[in-house]
Amino acid sequence: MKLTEIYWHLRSDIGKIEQALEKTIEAEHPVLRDASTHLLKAGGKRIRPVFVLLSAQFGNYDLNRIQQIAVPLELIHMASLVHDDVIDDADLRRGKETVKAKWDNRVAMYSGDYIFARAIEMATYCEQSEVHLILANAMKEMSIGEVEQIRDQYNEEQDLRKYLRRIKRKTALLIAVSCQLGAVVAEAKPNVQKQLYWFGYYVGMAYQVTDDILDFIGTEKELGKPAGSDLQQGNLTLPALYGMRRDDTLKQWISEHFRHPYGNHLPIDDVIARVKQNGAIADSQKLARQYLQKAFLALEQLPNTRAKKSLRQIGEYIEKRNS
Amino acid sequence: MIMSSDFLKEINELKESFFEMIKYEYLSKYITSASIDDDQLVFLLFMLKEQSISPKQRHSYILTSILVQAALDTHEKITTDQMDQDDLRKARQLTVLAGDYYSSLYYLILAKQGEVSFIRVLAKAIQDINEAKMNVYHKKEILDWSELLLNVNTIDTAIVRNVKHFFHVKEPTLACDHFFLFKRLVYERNSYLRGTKDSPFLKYYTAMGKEGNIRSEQLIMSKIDSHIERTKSNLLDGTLGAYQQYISSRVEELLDSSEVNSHYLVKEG
Repeated sequence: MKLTEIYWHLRSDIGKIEQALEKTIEAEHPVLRDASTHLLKAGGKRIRPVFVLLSAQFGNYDLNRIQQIAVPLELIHMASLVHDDVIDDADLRRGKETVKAKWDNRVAMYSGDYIFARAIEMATYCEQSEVHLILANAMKEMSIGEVEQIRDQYNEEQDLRKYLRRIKRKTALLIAVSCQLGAVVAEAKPNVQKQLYWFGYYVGMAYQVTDDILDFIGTEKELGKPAGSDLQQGNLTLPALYGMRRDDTLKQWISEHFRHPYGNHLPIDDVIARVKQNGAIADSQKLARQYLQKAFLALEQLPNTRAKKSLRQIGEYIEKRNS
Repeated sequence: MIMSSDFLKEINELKESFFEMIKYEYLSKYITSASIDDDQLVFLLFMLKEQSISPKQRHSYILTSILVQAALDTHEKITTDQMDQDDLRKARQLTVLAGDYYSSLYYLILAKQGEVSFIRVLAKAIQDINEAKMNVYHKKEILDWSELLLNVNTIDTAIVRNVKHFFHVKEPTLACDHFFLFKRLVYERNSYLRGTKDSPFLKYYTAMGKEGNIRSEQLIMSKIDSHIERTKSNLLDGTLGAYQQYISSRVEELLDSSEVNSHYLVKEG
């Protein structure tokens, strides 16, 4: 089942969110407007707004209020991608030129800052102070997570705990707060808000672990970048971490690459083959499944509704996705 | 604007809070610390001292305003140059992230205190500044001189301006706008004399297709000089009420510490 089929019943509301996204970043300056909408037009799963909408269905569902938080969440995600492309010096995202490649770093910085500010401004029309505390804290944690990723780059001395903390900040937190905020804005019961937060958190962890697995087993066409890019760029993700534990040759290759990132050629095809053979991929998939099981457990506490069914289907989709 | 000992004490407390907030050991290994524009701080404190708000609120409003400025200034350091050295690349990456981090702090501080309206004030100021930056940096048509000054002034004053509007502060004859324009012109002139190439004013006449043309350089310098003179007259005309004393002394300080005076002396001599 495709992701869009899972939330087909929400298509009208998602369409309205899409329009609101575009309208919110309509800058006066033409290049700022083009740069800001550039990534928006490249598409994307809109998974965060979808989580907000589905979670809001556990309370008083009012699209006008809910979009005040669904739109900012997607914009915050987008702005962080625009800045990430400057950090990674990336020319392509989702198969299209990045803002920094199409214009330059400065335009990317100004556009990212502009989108962040528009997102925050729109969120302020939601007057529940709790919303801002949750969102601001997530933004702070996200930026700390990114700093930690840079700090840990080309550092082979990492453990599972460090990796999990990093992906929590990098990915899981924004998905968790998307679910939580949907419920908060719709004034769902506190326990429902809490369970939705945990559902989002575990799904987010599974999502990032799956992303890290795909970086090893996906094709260049599916990924939009060569397989093994994370490791080439010095980012030690779960399959590599597991692989290094059980394969000394692999550990040696990665250590050598991390010590001399620009002078050493990492035999990436052999690395990928070994990670697949030594069970590191299978173990990573097992951990992703465990996170999903925890996510489904959180869902069990919620009333049986169509939204609950859709949330579960999204979890199942994440497990099976290949791009 | 009397700089009483209480006033100076509060300025110091704000600076301490700012540097405490932005402290991040790993970042400081690779990037230079953010700085505070003392004039912006003084203007903000002066304006907010007149408002019926608690000292705690005043502290949060000013602290978050200077955090926003720090975030924007940090991102302004991102260049378009190719970075081949590992340390330089890392410094750039962390500069992007430091700006985002400072930005998240302003939101978090105000969110913790339930100051949702003020969050909106600062978010709006950031938008105004980035629109103006794009007008200066990336405009198809050549900006005319007054547009250039207007946009540069928005970049320098949008935070103070938005705070001022939020509190309906009555300020004599745009003291803040004129002062920051004067300060910017003196800065740009000094930068130009020192050979800085990354100036919006330099871009202004480069865009006119006159790069390297001595006459056009003289033209831009005389435009800057006459504007410095005009703004200086506005600032020293004695109509700035409570702001007059501070502004007059700062104008003298800026002129004393710059090459503008020596240039005038040469011209007059």
